[in-house]
Amino acid sequence: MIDDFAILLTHVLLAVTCWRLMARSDLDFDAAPDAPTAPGPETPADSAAPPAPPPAVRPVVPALNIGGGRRA
Amino acid sequence: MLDLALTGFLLGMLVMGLKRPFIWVLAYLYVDIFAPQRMSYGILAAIQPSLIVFVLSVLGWLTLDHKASNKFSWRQGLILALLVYCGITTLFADFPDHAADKWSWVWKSLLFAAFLPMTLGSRLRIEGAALTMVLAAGAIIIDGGIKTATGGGGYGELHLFVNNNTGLYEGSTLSAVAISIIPLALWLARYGTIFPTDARVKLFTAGLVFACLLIPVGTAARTGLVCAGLLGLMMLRSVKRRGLYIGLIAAGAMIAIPLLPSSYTNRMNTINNAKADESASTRLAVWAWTIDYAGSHPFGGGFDAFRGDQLNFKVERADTDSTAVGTQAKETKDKARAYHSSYFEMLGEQGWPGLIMWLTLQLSGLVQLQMLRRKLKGSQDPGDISDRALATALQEGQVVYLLGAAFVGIAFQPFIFMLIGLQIALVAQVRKRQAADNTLPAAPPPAAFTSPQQPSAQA
Repeated sequence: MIDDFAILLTHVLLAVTCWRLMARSDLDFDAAPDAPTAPGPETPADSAAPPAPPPAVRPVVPALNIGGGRRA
Repeated sequence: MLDLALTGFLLGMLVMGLKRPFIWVLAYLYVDIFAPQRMSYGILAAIQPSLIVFVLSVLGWLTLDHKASNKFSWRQGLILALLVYCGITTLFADFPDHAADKWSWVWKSLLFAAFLPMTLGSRLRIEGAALTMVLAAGAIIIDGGIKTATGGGGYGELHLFVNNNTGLYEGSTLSAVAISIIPLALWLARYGTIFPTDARVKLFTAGLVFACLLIPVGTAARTGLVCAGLLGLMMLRSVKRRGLYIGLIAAGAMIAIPLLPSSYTNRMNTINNAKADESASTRLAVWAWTIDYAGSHPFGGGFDAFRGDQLNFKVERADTDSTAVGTQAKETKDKARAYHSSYFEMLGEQGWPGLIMWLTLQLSGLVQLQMLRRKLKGSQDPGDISDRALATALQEGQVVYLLGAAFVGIAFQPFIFMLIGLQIALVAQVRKRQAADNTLPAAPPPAAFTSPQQPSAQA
């Protein structure tokens, strides 16, 4: 009874671990930081602004080392 | 039924590995720690699952895995050198058959330890490996912990899943390992992203840690008590409220000690009087024999060389036959007694070169982790904070192991070599990230962003 409980509990957790790992995009490579737009306080005017231009014409922002997101 | 369930579980892991070959690495960790084949009477017992998942994990990594690999480090080279050296001593062993038996699992343990860091190329992989190790060992520990709490246990009497006194199923080994994984379990609970911190994770971790602490009681292994004491001291380094921590430890001890079985407290009391304890006296005699043996065999006698020992020693006993207070020394003879110490195990089996390589491997890990802790100290980056906490946990685990290893012959225990693999991978990853950071343009002032892969790191 105790044996079965210990095995069941840990093996369910192991199975969930494997399942979640399979679904993670950062399993093979550490996630690179999202290419952020220039940070700044959002204002009503920002919200109303038209969509950001495509990356090719967006002002170049240096790769930010923020919050632990690192390049692989 | 259990046999079928375990077989199905392992098959499930192997199938998942077809999509993500890294799962096969986890399958090897699981099989090597939990050893499902030992409690099987069917398919798992008939095949060699350990060898199969070993081959799959290596082939999968080589051919299918999309990975960011770590560079091969000098510590991995040292593990391989130790592997080669052990192979040579096995060829010239004093007891070739016994040596071949031990070699049959040691080579896998060492080779996998050298291989593991290369597969752990991302933070998530290190976490996945650590979690698998804790859960696989946790199965045995939770089983033993519950049985101890419900009145089972005693020296050599704690029945785990199998009546097989090898690997983690040996009482003293399990005691040392159970205490040494506590810091890793706490790290997973606080910084884990596979199971982000919540009430259920905290509850499970609390239960697991409690079970870990019960294992030395259940196995009546003195080693475990010593290890637990050392871990309690070491964790003073990293706790924020030291006064509260000390108070809780003291209160817990005051509550727990009266509840401990008398057989356990009697056995723990023998720690103070080695001369009167036959087990301790035997160890001292074996250690003295080993030092003499290494004098005449500086390159060791190969695995299980202890089988050649002949011991004569004295055990002091209370003189109960006379009214005078005193002790009398009893001459005792013994032979073929195991080393009961990893240091003397290495010295006797692998000689001075083997011992030096093994010590270098162990101590360099402590030094590297300490340097890593220092390097990351003060960083506000959540990833760095998590890495530093992992370095602390691995360091604490290894110090506990090195203390336990003084009293148990677990020099080649696969679990410990897996921990070394985690250490190597962590150090390599941090170096790699810092090298990458140094090539990037200077970052602007920190903004209120968090790492996408570390949602719980700020918990």
